[in-house]
Amino acid sequence: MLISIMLTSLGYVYVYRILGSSLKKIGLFNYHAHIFLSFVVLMLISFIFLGPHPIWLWLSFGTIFLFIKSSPQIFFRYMETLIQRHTLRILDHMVLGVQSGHSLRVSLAALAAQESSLLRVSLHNLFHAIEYDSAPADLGTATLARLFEELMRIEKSQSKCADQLRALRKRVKTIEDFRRRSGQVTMQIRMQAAISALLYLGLLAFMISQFGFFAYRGLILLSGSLFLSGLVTVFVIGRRVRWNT
Amino acid sequence: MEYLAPPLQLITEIKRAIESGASVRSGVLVYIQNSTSEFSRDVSKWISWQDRGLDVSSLVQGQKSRYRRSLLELLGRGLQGEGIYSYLLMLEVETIEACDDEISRKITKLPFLLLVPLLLMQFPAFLLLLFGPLLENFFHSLGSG
Repeated sequence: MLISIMLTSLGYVYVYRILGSSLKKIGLFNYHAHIFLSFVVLMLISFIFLGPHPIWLWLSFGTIFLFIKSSPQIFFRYMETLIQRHTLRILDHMVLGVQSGHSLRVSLAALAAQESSLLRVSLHNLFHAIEYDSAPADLGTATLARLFEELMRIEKSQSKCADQLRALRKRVKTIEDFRRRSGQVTMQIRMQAAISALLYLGLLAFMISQFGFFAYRGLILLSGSLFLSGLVTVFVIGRRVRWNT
Repeated sequence: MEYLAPPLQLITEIKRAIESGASVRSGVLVYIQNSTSEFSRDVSKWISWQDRGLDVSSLVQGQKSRYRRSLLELLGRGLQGEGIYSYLLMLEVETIEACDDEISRKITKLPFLLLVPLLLMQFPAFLLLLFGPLLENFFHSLGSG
């Protein structure tokens, strides 16, 4: 019991440190770590005193550890899609702000203040990066870094700010439109490959469970190679879809 | 497939350069730096030939798309100091229309293309798994009977 508690305490401290640094990377406050770790303590107590099974304990530790370790990456990926989805809206707001006589920074600060979603954190980061002209690497996501570069360029040019913002918005809109449409092509290929592979695996599992593997291994090999060559052909067709314009 | 067609990507970079007061050349260089397409390699070769004063007409005529050819010709004029912004805007509109047409054609054609491996390879693979053991048993019982 003593060893269990000692190991658990060591693990707890380790998890606390990693969680603290992960949250710092994301830009959230440390009290989130305290809330999360109180739940972990409750779980550990229930493991140690109610049902001390070492495998389950280490499995839970491992899951928590992996989750915490990968949480910044998951968060940044989510933020990337969120920013991509809202870039046009952000630019719309800034164009309106600049047209009504505000500076680029003031319109960005106003947008960041009124934002209610998780995007607020990124917009505040963007605002501070522009305010202090800090490195775009601090922003975490590639889209935000690009937006930062564009906004910095517009702000430094000091002329026709609204026109440049409108041009940027038009460019982003064109890219978005084509991203959506070319996404239809790639999505169709991926979905066909994924669904056919899932169906095939399901059927293969059913066939093996009903008839066995060794009795029909020749048949399975033939069918598998036929299916794989079909799958490869689908991807080859996908790779050959290129712009001719 | 990239999101933007290579000539449209190049037009975007050059437009951005001109709008921010930079030269056409710097826009071309940014495009070469950022893009990995086949066209960017051609553009890189084209600008190095231009710099060395070589004849680039064979390189321009070698482009399969007339939009790429027009763009390179226009950029050649831009590099010589001619104002090309308004022509670039017109070419952008035409290129966007052409890209729209092309992507619509591809979206219409793709399901038929994808049917070929499905019907010729994957469907027989499914049939083999479904009916193979039954047929094998059937023929086996016929043979032993």
